[in-house]
Amino acid sequence: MQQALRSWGLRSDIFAERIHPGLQKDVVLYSQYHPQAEDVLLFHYSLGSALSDYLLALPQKLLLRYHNVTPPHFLVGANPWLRTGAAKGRHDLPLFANRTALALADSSFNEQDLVAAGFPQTAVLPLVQPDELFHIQPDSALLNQLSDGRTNLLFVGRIAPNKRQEDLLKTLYFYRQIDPTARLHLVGSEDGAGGYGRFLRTFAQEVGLEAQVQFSGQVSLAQLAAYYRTASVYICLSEHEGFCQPLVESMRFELPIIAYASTAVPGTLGGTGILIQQKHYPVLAELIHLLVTDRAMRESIIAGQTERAAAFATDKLLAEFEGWMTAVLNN
Amino acid sequence: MNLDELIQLDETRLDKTAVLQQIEQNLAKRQFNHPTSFPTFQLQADGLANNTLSAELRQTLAQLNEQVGQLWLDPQLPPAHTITQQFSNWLKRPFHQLVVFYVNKLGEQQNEINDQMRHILRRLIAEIDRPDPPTTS
Repeated sequence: MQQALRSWGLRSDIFAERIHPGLQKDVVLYSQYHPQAEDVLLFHYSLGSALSDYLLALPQKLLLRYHNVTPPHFLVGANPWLRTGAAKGRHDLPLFANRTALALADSSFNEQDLVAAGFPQTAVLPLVQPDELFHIQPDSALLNQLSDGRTNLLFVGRIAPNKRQEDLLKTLYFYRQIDPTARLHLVGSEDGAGGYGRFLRTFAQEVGLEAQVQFSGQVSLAQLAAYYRTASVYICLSEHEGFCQPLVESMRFELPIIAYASTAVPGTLGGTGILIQQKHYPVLAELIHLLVTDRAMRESIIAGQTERAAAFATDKLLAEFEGWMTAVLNN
Repeated sequence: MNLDELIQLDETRLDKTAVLQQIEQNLAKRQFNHPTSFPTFQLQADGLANNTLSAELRQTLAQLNEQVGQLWLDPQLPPAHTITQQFSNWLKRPFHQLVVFYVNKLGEQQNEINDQMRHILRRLIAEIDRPDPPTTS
C-alpha cells in the first residue's frame, strides 16, 4: 500500500506502537510522529492500544482500514496481553465511527462490524498483497526436503487459539489411517501464542503425531512459496478470520482448499474450494483423500479457485484503493 | 450425519451427489479407530484416575493451569525516548510502585482462591465422569 501511495505522488510514512525487529528500517514509533494539518491518517485497525487513544485525540482526517479484532474469548488463557488488546479493540471501535471519513473493511463480514458500530461511510476492499510471493524462486533446500513423495497438508497462519490448529491435528490423526505417509505443516509465527503453542506440541505428542507435524515458525517468502508448491491440500479449520489471506494464496498456487465455514471464510472462497459446516474428522479425512487421489475432482476445484483469485488481483485492488483515496483526499 | 448439509462445493463444476456417494462408500469400508470422536485423555487428578477428558476440556484445563498464579503486576510506564519523557517516568515510578504494591497484595489472595477453584473443578469433572455406584435397595 505504501508503495502504491508513493507511486501516486503522495508522501507516506508508517508509524506504529511496537515495531518488529525486521521492520525497523521502514517503520517509526508513533511517538515520533509530528502531526501536520494536511495529513491524512490511514489507521490499520486490528487491536486496541494506546495508539487508538492517541489517534482519537488528533484532528487530522482519518481513514480506517479494518482487519477485524479477534473476539477476546478465544485468547483467554493463551495471551493476557493480546486478550486485553482485543477487548479494548472491540470496545473502542464505535468511538471511531464519527471520527472517520471512510472505513474500509477487508471483507463483507468485517464490514458488518463497522455498520454495527455506527460507521456512516464503509466499503469493502480485500487485502492487497504484493505479487512477490507468486514470482519468487522457492527455497530449493526446503523444496527438495518436502518433495519426498509424502502427502503434505498445509495450514498458514500464526499459532493462535482462534485458528484451532488442534483440529488440524485431529484431522491428520484420521487421515493418516488412510495415508500413513501424510504430515502436516503449520506455517506461521508463534509470537504471542503463549501457552497455546505448548498445548499443541503436547497434544501432538500424546496422540503420537509429534514426528508428523512440523511447526515452521516464521518463514521467508521463498520458504513460504516452497510450502505452497509442495502441498497437496490446504486445510483451514479456523473459527475466526477477518479475511484469510492464505486462502487467496492457495488459490494462486493452485492448491485445493478445504475450509470450515466460519466468519469471513465463505465470503473469501466465494463458492469455490470445499466448505464444511461441521468438523467431522473422518469426513474431512475422506475429502482430503479424494482431493489427493481423484485428479478430475482436484482439477475442477482448482479451476474454480483460479477463477475466484481474479477478484483479488493486486492491480484491480490497487485501482479500487486509489479511487477510495482520491475520494477521501478531495472530500 | 447429513453429508449434503455438511459439505458445500461448487456444483457447477462437480457432481455433488457422486462425491457424497463416494465419501459414504469410503466411510463404510474404512474402519476408523475412532469413528465419531477424537481420543480422550486420562484425567490425573486427586487420585481419581480412570476418568477421561475430551480434547477440548483437557485444553481448557491446561490453559487454566497455566493461568493460575499469574496475577502479578509490574509498574507500567510509557516508553521514554526523550530526556523529558525519561524524567517524567522517573517522577511517576514511585507512585506506580506504591499502587502495584497494594494491587499485588490483592492479587496474591485472588491467586489462592483461583487455585482452590481449579482443584474443585478438576475434582468435579472427575466425580461427574465416574460411573454411578450400584444401589443397595
